[in-house]
Amino acid sequence: MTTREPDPVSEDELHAFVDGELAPERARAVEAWLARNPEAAAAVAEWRSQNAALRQLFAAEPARRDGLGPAPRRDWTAPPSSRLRNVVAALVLVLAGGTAGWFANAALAPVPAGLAETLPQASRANYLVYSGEVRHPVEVGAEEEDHLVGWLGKRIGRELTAPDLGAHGFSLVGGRLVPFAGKPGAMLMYENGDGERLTVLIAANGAHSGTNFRFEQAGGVGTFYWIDDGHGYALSGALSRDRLLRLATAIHHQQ
Amino acid sequence: MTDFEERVVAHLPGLRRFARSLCRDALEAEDLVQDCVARAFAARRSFRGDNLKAWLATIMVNHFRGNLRRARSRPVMLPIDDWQARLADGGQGDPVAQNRLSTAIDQLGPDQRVVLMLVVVEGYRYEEVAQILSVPVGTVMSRLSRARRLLAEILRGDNIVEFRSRR
Repeated sequence: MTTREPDPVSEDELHAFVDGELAPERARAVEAWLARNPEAAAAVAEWRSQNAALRQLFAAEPARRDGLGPAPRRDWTAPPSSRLRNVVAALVLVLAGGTAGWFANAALAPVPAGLAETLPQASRANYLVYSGEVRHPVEVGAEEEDHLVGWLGKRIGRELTAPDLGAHGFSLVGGRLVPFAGKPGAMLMYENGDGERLTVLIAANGAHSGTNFRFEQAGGVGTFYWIDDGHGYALSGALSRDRLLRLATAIHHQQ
Repeated sequence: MTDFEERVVAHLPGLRRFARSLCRDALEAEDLVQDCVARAFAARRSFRGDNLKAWLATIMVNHFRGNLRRARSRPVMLPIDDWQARLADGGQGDPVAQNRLSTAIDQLGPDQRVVLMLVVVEGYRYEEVAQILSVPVGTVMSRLSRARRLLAEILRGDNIVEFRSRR
């Protein structure tokens, strides 16, 4: 028996002990106290094993998703090395109508402020988040193109065709549903033989009928975007503005 | 990419892990990462420049809560190749035990789950968690305590059911 009872240990302190937040001296005191309090010691042991299990459960996630671990690949994925080199992207947004006439027309209607802020940023974020994906860049692969465009079109409320960019060396990787301004949007991803990727974002935007064509660039990422007939379009990629413009024009002619 | 975007993108692996620890399925987690990054790009001017990781975590938690408010009854989907990948990775523990743990954490309340993951998986200190969530440290402690007790109860209960069902 010691002459002095050690300070009582609160439950908060037990949590802090498990999470390594106690000062070393206090931690030693708690450890000694636990030796005399088996019930508390059992709880501490249980929390520690929870911690270990939770960390193990989520430890594998980042490695798998960034191509740094042994992620299984599908046919349509490019080699991880080229994927990682091309994490920077460009996004081009293109809309229907003859390009020249459309530019002239659209100049009368500026892009609404709210959407102008969110559309290119969403498109850019899409590109940055998904173009680096090795295992899950898309939800539905290009081998199921009919299913893909039917499904995405239904979700965004618009008949969708995947633009054919074969003449520019880009083929469809696939697509996925992405959130845009609280509603579903469709993202289509394209890739060329060098592993360069493009993303096209198409999202419903009922409030606005049409706008002009805008280009935004920051660092190496370019984004073309516009709104037509209640839908916003954005094309992003890590290509030169000229190349993006040619691709945007091609998409525009096909919509 | 701008410097800021590059720094955000460098946090993607951690953001994906955090999102997976909060969400019930992989697609929901990917949407959460995407929303978080888009919001971060749009809100860059409000970043004061001290702790980008914690700032991003704050954005993610806010989106997570907002999503819960909007769609409480979203069906749970687990892509089948998620499990194939988990098995293929190997060496990451018993898949049956991990499945049980996943099911158990899905039963925690969102506030409890957020605190547990921030502390245990993301390794934030209690005070940092309090800042991220804009609540007092005492609230962090009570949520953490409830989360751990509930998780222990669920896992224990789960064990009993399993042993009985084998007889």
